[in-house]
Amino acid sequence: MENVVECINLTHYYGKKMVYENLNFNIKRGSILGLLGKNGAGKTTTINIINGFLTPKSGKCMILGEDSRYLSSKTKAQIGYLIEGHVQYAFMNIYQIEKFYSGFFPNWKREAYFDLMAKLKVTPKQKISTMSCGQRSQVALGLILAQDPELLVLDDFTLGLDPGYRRLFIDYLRDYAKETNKTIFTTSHIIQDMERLIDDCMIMDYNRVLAYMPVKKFLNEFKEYTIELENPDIEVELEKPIVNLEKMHNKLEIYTYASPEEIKGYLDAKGLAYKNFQEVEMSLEDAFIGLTGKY
Amino acid sequence: MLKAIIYKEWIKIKKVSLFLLLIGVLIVIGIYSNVRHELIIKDAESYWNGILQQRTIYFSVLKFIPLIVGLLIAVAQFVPEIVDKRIKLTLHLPTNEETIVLKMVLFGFFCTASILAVFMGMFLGMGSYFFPQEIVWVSFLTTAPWFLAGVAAYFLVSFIVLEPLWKQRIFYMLFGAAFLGIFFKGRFPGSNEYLLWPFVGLIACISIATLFSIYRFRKGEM
Amino acid sequence: MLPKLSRYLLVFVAIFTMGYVLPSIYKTFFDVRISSPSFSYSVLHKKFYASKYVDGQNRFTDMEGNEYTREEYMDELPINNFYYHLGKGTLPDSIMGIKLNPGQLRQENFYQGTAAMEFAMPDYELNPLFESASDFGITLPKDVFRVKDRMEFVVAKTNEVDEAKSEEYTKALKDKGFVFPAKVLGGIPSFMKSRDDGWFIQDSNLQLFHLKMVKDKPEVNRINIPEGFKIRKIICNDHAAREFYATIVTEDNKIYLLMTEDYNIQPLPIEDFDADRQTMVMGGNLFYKTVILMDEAFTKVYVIDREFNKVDELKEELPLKSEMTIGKVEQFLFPFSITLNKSTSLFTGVYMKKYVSWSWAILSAVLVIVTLVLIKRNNRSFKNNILDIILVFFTGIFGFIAVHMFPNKEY
Repeated sequence: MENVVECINLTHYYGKKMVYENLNFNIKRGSILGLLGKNGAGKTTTINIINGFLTPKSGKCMILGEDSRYLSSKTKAQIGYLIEGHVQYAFMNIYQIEKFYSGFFPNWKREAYFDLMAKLKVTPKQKISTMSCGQRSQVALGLILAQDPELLVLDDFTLGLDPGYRRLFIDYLRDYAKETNKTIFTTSHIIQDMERLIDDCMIMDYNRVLAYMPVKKFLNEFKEYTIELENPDIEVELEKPIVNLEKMHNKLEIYTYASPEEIKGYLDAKGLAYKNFQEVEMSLEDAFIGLTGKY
Repeated sequence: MLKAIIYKEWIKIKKVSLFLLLIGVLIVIGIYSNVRHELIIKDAESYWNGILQQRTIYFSVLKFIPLIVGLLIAVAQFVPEIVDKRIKLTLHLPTNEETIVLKMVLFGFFCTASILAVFMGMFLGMGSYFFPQEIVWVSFLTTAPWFLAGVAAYFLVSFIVLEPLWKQRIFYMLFGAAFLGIFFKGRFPGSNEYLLWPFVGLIACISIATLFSIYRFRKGEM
Repeated sequence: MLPKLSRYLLVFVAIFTMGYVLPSIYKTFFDVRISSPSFSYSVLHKKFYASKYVDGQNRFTDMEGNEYTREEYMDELPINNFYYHLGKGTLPDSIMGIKLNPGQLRQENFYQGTAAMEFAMPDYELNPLFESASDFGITLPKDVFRVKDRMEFVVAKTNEVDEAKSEEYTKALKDKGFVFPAKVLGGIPSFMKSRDDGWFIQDSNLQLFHLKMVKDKPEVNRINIPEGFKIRKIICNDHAAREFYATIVTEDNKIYLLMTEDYNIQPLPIEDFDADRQTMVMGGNLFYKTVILMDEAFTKVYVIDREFNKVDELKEELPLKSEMTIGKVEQFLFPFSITLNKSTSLFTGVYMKKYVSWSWAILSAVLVIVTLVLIKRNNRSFKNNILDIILVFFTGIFGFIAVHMFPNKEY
């Protein structure tokens, strides 16, 4: 399968502050990649680079075979873009904005947009700026569906959505993408429900990638074990095979890709006395927090 | 595509354009109502004498009107583009980024220039009802820099609004204020006769300044 | 490419604006007043005296450097200050064998001045033609006239041409050989004058005419002038002595008087007048006329007797700002300066002053080094910034501010 997005050795700095160095990832046609990270981890920067709004300090991004810095109009028409917070031209109403966009896209699917709009309880003359966040997300989504692009780039689309709309958005999107073999690149800092949507995940911390693999594999292989330490004052070092640790008094949460036996062996080798070794079930959100830490 | 651009730009500036047009027309009518009143209550010849010999300017109320027109149209057109960085939507449209911004600016310029042309046409047209062509011509020379200042203000404010960083924006505002000041340096009716073409040249220089803002945006200043 | 161009255009406009703003801010804070002395020629002693305003008071000297009190100074110059002497009763009975009579002194005394900017000012070319033989003083006519392809009177109340009057005056002028349109007009358009002498008009064939309205009728006289007499300005007067109608300045900067008697054209023995730069002040009394030419570099005084011979002259250089501290610092700070207004013209324009001194190059070199350091620090390539560096060198502080205000982003 061909790659719709290929990012090679992306490096970017804001002034002296490094965002990341040598970031590499690909998105295959028809797959959905989620870039997950806390606020400020460089998610929007990546989106800006992919869309050509930002020239990376070094490295490059190939989108549908074109360098993202010099995207042709034809390729841009194949990229649907949702700005963080469902930003749209809010000074227009839903008819005006449809009329505006349709002038730019020869294959504009008017019905797709109005089918979605029909479900919204908005008056025909109502400006987008006066709509609720959920309604605005549907307008933004409708416009992307009408554009019918090959690649959807969604920047933190869950932001500000209440749970119902978030579910609606995710399910609608997943069905649409899988039916029409669309490729999606999405970022999010809210992980809840995200496993319903994405195939692959890339988890990013400030200036580095913590995990990049299929979600299923990540959820299978990434584990949390809890133990109770005999001596609560003892300091446990963060080293292989342990990926992350959270310590509260004598309770220790261990995050790792290793099996229970390996961890037990490691703890014994370190001479740490403990009891109550347990493996904990994790959702993607739990795993994300476990990997990136609570702070 | 141009139609779609015009459609969106017109939605943004329709209200303010029509409002400014109305205000300007009222001001020009006001100027000549006053002239008519003066000609009736004073001797017409001494009112003329005031203009010809004392170099009275009977239309000083017009001075900053074009500047305000250019400024407000630029604000109405480009502030909605930078709220929530919506300019990204515009730049993401399937067309050349520079071309689309230039088309937007061109349309705003067209609207500004049209409104100003209506004012100028009315001002000179009504002027020639009350005054001989010499006075109308000097009035044109006196007001032309003010009208050009309106066009300059449109280009400058567009560029400043689109500038991504506040720090730079403040520098550019200071620079813009100093630059616009030169359009108001004439001390005497008709004194700017030889400066009109240089003014036009300077305006041409800033007419594509918005590209610089867009360029900075695309180079990561946000 | 276009964004780069847009940047350089902005940089250019910024340099222009800085070149105008910064020197004017500098002048607002540091400008000094240069007061030029006023010179008077004493009929008694046949020499010049100067009165100068120094440190808040007037100082009186002669050209040899002797100082005088105010009273002494007044006594040395009895004719120039005859009002003072009349008041005190100290006016001499006679000078140079001529008996002094207050009425005559008053009548012969005049003073007129023309600044360079009066030669360069916008003009409506619409003027009033007053009644010259009015019984009730001078009142504003109901119309104004233009002299284009005919003479036209436009009535103010209706903004319409008075056809009958226009025909009448056009015919009167044509009958005397006037060739339309007019080249130069001279007259006093104000009604604040003691009498009206109408207008002096040079036609397109360089002939000079005198037009008056007498009892509502045109009166035209043709004036004999030398061949190829290209007039630049006709400065009319209403001096009490009625010695001459007007001072005429020709295109070649010669000064003539248009005498009342026989419309004689009387040249004045003044060689180095420059109408574009100098203010010309003329004073007259019973004995002499003095013509003072002034610009920022010097003051020159000519004394001319009643037969229009040069009696004496004086040239006084003024301290030049460019040689004072304020000027030297200015030349160090700025490679050039731009003004839009100047003292010798009422037209605005781009008036660029390029300094002779190269002292600005020191600051430019420093600013180039600062720019190079900044380029290095931000890891930008020298190659892409060559034009910036050249600009900074040649436009100094203006270019420095401009290229950094509009940074040359790249990576």
